[in-house]
Amino acid sequence: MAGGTPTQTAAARPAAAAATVRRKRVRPAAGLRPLAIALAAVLALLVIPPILSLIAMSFSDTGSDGAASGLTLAHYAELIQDRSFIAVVFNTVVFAGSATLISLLVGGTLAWLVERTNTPFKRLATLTAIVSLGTPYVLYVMAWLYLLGHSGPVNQLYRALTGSSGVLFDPYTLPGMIIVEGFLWSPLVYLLMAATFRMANAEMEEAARVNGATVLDTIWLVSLRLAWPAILALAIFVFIRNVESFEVPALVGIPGNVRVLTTDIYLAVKEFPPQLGHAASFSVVMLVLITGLIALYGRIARRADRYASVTGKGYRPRPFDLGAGRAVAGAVILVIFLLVLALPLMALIWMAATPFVGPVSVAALKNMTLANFRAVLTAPTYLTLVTNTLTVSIFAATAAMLITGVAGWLAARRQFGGRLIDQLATAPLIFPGIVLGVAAIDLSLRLPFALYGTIWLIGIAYLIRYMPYGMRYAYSGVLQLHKELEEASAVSGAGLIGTFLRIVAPLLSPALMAGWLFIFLIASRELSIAVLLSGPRSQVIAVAMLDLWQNGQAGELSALGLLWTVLMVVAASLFQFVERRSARKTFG
Amino acid sequence: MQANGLRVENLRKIYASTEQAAGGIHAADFDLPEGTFFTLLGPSGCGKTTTLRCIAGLEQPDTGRIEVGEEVLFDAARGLSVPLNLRGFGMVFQSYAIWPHMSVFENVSFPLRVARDRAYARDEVRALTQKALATVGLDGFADRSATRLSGGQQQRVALARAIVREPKLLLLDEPLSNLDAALRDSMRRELKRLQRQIGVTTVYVTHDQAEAFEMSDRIAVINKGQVVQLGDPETIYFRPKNTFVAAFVGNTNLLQGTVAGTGASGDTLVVRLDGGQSVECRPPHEGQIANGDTVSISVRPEAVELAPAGTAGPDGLNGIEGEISAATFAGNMRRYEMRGRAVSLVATPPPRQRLEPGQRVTARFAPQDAVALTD
Repeated sequence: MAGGTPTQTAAARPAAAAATVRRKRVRPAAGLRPLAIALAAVLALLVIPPILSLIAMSFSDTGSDGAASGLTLAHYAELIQDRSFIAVVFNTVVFAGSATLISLLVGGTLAWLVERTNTPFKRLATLTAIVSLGTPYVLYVMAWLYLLGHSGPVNQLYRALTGSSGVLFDPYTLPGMIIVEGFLWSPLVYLLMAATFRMANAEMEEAARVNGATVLDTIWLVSLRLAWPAILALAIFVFIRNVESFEVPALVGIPGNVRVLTTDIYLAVKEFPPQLGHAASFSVVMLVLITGLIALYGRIARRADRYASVTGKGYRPRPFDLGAGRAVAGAVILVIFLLVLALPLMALIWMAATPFVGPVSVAALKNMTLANFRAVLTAPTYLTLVTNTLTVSIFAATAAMLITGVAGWLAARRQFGGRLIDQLATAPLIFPGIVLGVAAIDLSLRLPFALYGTIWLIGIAYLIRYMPYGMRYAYSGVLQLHKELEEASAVSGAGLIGTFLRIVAPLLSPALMAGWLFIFLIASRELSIAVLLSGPRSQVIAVAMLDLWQNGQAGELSALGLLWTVLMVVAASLFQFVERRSARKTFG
Repeated sequence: MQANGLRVENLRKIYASTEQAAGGIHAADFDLPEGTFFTLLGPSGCGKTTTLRCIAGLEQPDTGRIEVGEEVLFDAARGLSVPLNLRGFGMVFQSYAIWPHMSVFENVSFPLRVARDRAYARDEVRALTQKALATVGLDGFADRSATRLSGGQQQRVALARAIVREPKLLLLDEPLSNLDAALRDSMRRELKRLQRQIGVTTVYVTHDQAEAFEMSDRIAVINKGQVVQLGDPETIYFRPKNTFVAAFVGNTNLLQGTVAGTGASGDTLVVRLDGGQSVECRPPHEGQIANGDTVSISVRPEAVELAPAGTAGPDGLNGIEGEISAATFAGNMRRYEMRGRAVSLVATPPPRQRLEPGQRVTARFAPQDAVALTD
């Protein structure tokens, strides 16, 4: 019509259009139905069997040969009668609760200082977080065990100062576990809290200041109150992760004879013959506990969302001027940096560079060697380990993001089946890694083909476990896209699939990329699932590290860990870069 | 009906919501010849955007029928609904919906690249896109990244994308509401010029009555899901059908009274105001009226003249005595509030006339400038 020939185009159209009308008697969303149904089926197949398997196992009577031979309530009866069960649950709650407090205190303080004040050393905090994100937890725990250990530098210093021959601190205790676990989670808490503080509306604080409140009043009366639901939600999240945690309970708790739920399940499976019924009934108890916590988390997180007051103008709030307090704040950041990053890293370097792990001394400096690094770099087993680990992590991350990219869109746009797909994709949140491992053993042994003992079983278990995280990234990514962008495409003539491929997928790709890297990072250091599923031919790096530690090969382990950490820190920096940049580029 | 005119019959779309009062559109009917600039005007939440989205195919109406030219796009009775991507319309969204991952050229050429009814050759895509960009005054912007555009430029890109395929219908959802005042003013005239130039039937949604009057051939005033009045801009302004239309499309005075008889000329009504004054006005837009009926008389402030009390005015005008209670200066006019017996009036005469608060005045207006409303 732009050419001024409306009659011509108008006359040409009705015939073709009439034919179109007769052919297309469908609702617009109908094209998606087969896709949504197929996706829901795949998700159901991944998510539901593990739950059923655990419940079935917990009720089945196993003979001495390990084969199921009828139904029984014996496993649950044992739980109730067993006095140590109460102790295990008590340990779990104290361990998880106290560690949560430590990481919230450390991570939260750091986040507030960095995001909201003019403290020095801001970059140091970010560096700490990124390097920690790339460090396998096994390695980290081991470094702390060396530092706090009987012949480690802390007790060494204590003996030198006091002249006593005892120890100041024994890490193989519940307090030891709590401290190490608390430090372990601080960097992640820092990253998550930083996002909360960054998004909060600074005008609320400025209004308090203008109306005469001091800095401390403002923090207490405004900042903290506004952030409270978000902090509480984060606390429950960290608590859940601590209940599920395996590294610290295995490395610190088992030698110290402090049992928690995860290690109890692990030991039951590792016993001979494996006490699968016992493990499964423990697992069901954990599932119920975690499900309750997640429901609580959901309620609080919704309230936190209501409190979130994003300005959306992309303007940077002016940081608090700490005045003379800057020095104190800087010192706090330095101490946290030392505790969370520098000391463990130095311990690892020390162990890797000395032939035998011993006390820190000047004499030992003369024996410094690169032998451990040489051994790691030349032995073919280590190469296999790296390939295996990268393969399963890349597989899990890619599959999870492909599935959740579509699932997140269907769910966020409330398309056909979106709600069911959302529930299925987020359901695996209730599986602690070790519990999923128990279920995966059982399921893989029932399959007609050999999956147990291969890395693919581990890959599939990772996929199930990490799908909910992918879903978070994809879902909130879609919510950030203005719906009119898709409607404009449809009005322009693109079909639903076309709109998804041309508009949604490219715009969502930064979010999917961030999700991919996040899953890749956590999958590549995952221990609790893999520890039950790794066979001789399907070792992954975290499990190998645990073995090396238990065999006393701390030197080689440190060398391997340091090299691996360098690789993962590169991935983690990339992740941080993508996260920060993607939002700006696409939505700024 | 002419080629590519728009006919909407008994369109109904109700949102049932547990949280708030149900919104939507109750019964929309209109029949527009090709090339009409048609505006859906109403307050926010009145159902005007719902109507537009139903026409676009973004919503499924509950009942009704939508036709463009000879083609039936939606017919609830036959269970027929052409998918929105096959309707061949152009639409400009309130947020413009410029895809940030594409250049200006890629944004504008998108409808051509995804077209199902025919394949456009590469040269043709380029030529049509350049033409659309030239039409909206964006020559030379083709390679610009879509994120590096000002609000006005984004608006033009959205418009170019909407017209590039020579759509049968152009749908505009408050396209000017995100622009600053000066730009909004000039874009208003430019949009109108453009629509005339390409001659496309256009449905425009706005809550701004000035926009509606300046651009439209026909206006539908919508309130609470009902089309209250449909007509050309002058009829809507000068002969509003009820008090809602009178008050929504501009400032007005509403004087309460009862019908006392017919005027001397026969085409006016005599109304006795609640304060006892007698005025003449036009009868309601439609419907019967009898002596003793209560009515509101709508008089626009700019139609009211104020003169110091006691001065004689021309014959045939209504006069109401009162006292100035407030006076403000607004640049292009003055605004006076006058209070008389059981009545108050606002008048906006040109700025040269100056009156003081407390001054006794007579407000005069012609019977032709006053219209009786029955609700």
